[in-house]
Amino acid sequence: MGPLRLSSHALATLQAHAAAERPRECCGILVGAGSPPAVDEVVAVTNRHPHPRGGYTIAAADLAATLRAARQRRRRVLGFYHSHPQSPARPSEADRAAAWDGMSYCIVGECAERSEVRSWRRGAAGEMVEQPVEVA
Amino acid sequence: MTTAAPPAPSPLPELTVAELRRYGRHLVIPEVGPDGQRRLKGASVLLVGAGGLGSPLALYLAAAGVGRLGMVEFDQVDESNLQRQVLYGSADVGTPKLAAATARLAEVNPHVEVVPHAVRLTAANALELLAPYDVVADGSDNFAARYLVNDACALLGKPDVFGAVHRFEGQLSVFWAAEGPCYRCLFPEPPPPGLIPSCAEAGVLGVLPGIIGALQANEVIKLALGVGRPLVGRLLLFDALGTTFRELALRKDPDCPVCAPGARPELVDYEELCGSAPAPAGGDDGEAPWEIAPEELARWRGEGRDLQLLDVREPFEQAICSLQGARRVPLRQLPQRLAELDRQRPLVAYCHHGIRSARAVELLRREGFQAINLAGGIDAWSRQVDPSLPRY
Repeated sequence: MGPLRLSSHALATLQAHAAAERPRECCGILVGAGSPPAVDEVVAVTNRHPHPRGGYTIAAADLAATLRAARQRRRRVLGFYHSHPQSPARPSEADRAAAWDGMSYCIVGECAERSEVRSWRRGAAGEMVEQPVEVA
Repeated sequence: MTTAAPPAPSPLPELTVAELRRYGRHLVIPEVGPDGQRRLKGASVLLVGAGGLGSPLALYLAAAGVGRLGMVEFDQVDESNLQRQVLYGSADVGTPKLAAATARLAEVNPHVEVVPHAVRLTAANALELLAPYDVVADGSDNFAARYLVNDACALLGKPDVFGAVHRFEGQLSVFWAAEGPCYRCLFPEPPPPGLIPSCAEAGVLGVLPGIIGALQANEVIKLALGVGRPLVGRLLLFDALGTTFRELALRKDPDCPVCAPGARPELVDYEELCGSAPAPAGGDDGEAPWEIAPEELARWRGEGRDLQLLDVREPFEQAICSLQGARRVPLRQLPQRLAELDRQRPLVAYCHHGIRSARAVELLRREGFQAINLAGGIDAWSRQVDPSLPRY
């Protein structure tokens, strides 16, 4: 599995989004291009989960709008991100169950009072496998 | 010596040692050099048609190291093609052109990625097909495709490297609405059906598409490199009998229906107008139709016909909208998940715009399924049958 490549601007954007939403979980969509693909755009969306302190939901309409806009700019959706305001950046069981093949899931977590950003992808057996994060 | 060029990828891909060895004769040319070769490697070109013009185009672009070569072609190799379509040999007769072309090009240059699109270019799929590529080279043999390529390129702002051949005469130009005239500035509307004979009816000197196709490849390479003076605003005419070239200056039509300021073009399928459509339902051999229109599928469903619906999109697309009762198997998983489908029942496959599902239908038919593609995909369904489905 290749790394998740993030521009430094993209990384800063999703960290800022996580900080702004704390104690709620933030969420959004990772958009990029290239081969291997690199995330150069972070689309922050509203968390539609009924209990946003304990989960996240991205509305289908937000996803549709992002896909449409990305295609017009010759980009594609590479994955999603959300935050764990009070726990490490490891996928929960709900995160695992909702993960789609081929997508990167970036999590901004809190570990020993420090923010960490890690990425995960769904493995062949449905398990979440960590994907190295490279910041360019 | 630079000129208008489609944007190059940034950063440019690096060259491997094997590629440095292979492209040595390019690397020593100052106008190419290592950076130019990297631009070629980073370039993507879509060839519409893999026939007489598409053959030299594909061979020379692959040999030159153009990184990504898409090919739109749904025909099979016929014995009568071999007189001019030098991508193919006698052993390929009866096989899909794309399969034979992919194998041949891998032999020519394994560093090039060939992307086969086994579909007919239509108004519904043209934008999605063309959008991922930097340059489009039109090697089609009919007016329907020619107008569609021009219109889609104008809408997307991409250069259309145009070539055409007829008996002993060839034409060449680069239609790039952003930089000059487009094909419609010359010929606003297609000719009526039957006025212009097809290649099969009129004949063509076998070497002629070789000459014009190679000149098209030259224009593509110049555009990718951003060097030289592309054939924008000029129409080159070649007469093989007199061995003469003539050049006509072309002007942008201020009233062009496609590229004039304020024009609001919509893509149209010109098959009926041009008289070049394939049989709408089944081929001459009585084969079942490959495509079904959304309205027709709606009628089938309304009648309660027994059929399977197969959604081959990715899960994140399926989350946005889907058709009720569809089984969801992304295209990339389809070969491993055929057992989930019923070979005895008719199957209609769909995706976003009908391109991935066309590939799925090809695969399924090879495996013995009665598969049909939903023309235009769920996007067309949303536009024509159920506007409540969100479009994306």
